[in-house]
Amino acid sequence: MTIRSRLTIWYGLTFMLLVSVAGFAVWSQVQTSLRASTEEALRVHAADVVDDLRQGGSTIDALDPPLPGIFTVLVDPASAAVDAGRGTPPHLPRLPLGDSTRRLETTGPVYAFHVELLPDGRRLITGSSLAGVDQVAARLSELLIMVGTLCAIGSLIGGWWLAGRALAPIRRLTREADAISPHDLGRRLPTVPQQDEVGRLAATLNRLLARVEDAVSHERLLIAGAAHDLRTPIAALRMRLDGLLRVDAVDGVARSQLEDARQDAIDLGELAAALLGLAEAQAVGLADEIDDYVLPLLVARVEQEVEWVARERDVRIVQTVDEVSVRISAVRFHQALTNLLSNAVRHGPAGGTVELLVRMEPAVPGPGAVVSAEVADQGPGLPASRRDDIFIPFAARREGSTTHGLGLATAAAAVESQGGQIGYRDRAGGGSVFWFRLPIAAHGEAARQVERPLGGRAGPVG
Amino acid sequence: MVRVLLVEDDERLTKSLGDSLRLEGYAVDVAATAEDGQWMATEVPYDAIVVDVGLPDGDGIDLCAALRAGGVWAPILVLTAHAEIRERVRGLDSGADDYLAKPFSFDELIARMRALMRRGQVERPAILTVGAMSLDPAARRVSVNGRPLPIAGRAFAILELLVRHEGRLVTRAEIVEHVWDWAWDGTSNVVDVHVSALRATLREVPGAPVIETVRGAGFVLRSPGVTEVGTA
Repeated sequence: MTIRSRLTIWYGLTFMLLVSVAGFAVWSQVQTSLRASTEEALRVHAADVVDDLRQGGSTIDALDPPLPGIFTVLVDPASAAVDAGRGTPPHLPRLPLGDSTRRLETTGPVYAFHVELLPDGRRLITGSSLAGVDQVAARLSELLIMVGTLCAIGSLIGGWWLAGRALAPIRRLTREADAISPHDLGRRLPTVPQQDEVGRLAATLNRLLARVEDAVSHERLLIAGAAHDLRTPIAALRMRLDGLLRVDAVDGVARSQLEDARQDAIDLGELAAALLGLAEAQAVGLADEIDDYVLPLLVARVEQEVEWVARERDVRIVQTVDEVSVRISAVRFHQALTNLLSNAVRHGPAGGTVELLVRMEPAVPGPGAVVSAEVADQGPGLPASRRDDIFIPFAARREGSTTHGLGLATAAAAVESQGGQIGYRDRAGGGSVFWFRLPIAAHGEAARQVERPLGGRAGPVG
Repeated sequence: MVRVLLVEDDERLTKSLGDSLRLEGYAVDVAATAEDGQWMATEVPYDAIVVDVGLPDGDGIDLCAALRAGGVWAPILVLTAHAEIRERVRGLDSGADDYLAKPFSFDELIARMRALMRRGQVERPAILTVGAMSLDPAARRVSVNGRPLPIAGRAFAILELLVRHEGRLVTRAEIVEHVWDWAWDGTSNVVDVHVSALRATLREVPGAPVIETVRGAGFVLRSPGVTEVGTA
């Protein structure tokens, strides 16, 4: 059950209890007062009649009672009626002196009586039915129940509304917190101006977010820094091995050992490059700057990144690119497409063809327009069991392969940082198609937030 | 003998790279700082300069800009450590001609250097013009009616070639020969993508020349308004 429902029920129950107690108190107070005033009237009337009789009054009905419905009876010491006034009920029982109440018939109304002893031994009885009082009390209780019910309904509605209002900032915080993805850890919850519980909760969550962001960026910086610093020594090692292999005197076992060492150095370098690429793609910052770019120019630069490997593996790259300008983050596009293309060139069959299709969809720029890129290779394709995790770092590692499983994760991080989509499908006729779609920014949309540069230059340059 | 300047502060890399280049028959000078590099490049007419992006006293990209500003026109190849992706993607408008990410294969370095030096040997007039477009091969700058265009690196080399052969057919093979310098099987359409990029860039500028595709043959650069079909 939600807090809102619970608050509403508690609020309603408490309100109903209070209203019931107050209603009952009012009801019983009114009933008691009405009875007391009837009894008072009986006493007063009895005293008046006794005075009248003493002063020689002949009949007990000579005086008007202070309340309508009061009757007067004069009885002898044996309780036989000597004189019965108007409205006296028949068969009065013997009544004690003073005030009393009694029901004369089992289903009839209750009567109130007052009995005065006269000096001659006779008794003067004044009495009145309490039916009127009971009627008023019953009407009052009906009224109170009606008002109470309305109040109960009102309190439930009011409670629901109040609880909703009180919890609205929490709902807003929940929505905002849900929207924070690993790509925008720099984002914070909106700060609530007042220093209430919600304000403190938002501030606490923001401090937590800041600590998470710090931890994540430290880790990324560490990886990026380590990968970056590894590259120059690896380059030197590779250069040395390349140099040695160019010496003709090196042959036989030595050459084969050197060739293995060179391959190891290449693998190491690729791992460092992939780690650095992933750290860059995951970082938020200057890489997210958006501007207008000529699409084929961006593709040509990507092609330059893989042309040497393509040449070494004799892979032909056939490209179809729309001749248009698009407003996107060039760095994110470059990161995504380079990794997909490099993946296809390195892991497709040697001597094969990689098809690259980059276009704007729809062909006319407008809201919802995307840059759509597809890279199709003639490799074995992906078995169904591996399709779910290929975009997770290291999950794409293949048995006995030199790939580190970081390229696709890097492409995914780059695409998703821009709110784009990335995916895989089988190529008709065999092979894989990796695709992504990057949203094109509306004209006039400024560069995305770059307040926390993390990427750009990760670690020392050089 | 071909003279190469290597501006790089990592001793291991300068030693191994220098040795390999010398084995290939190059004369190699080494500068460990941007300051030394700038001084040496200004004093000696090198055939090519290889610059590392990260130098102890400055940025290799800034060094390129400083060299160009100082009138050094030798082709420059920049070695990056991959972290400079932003600069790379934004185009090498600093004056560098090409870049190579570390670690790289020596063969690739040699191939790229050869391609740059081949281009560098072309005799250059001060400024080439086609209609309202002017192209400065030495400064690597293109502008139309004074408005600079973001064309650098390989795209610049292709445009320069087309401008030098204005109105005449330039084949894909000629472009590859001029710009890439490595074995070419003629099956990839990388040239088309570069030309497509150039064409899209020029099309957005009023008064810029037009690049026409001659089906199955190559490309022709024309002044705007000239529609005559030309041949090589």
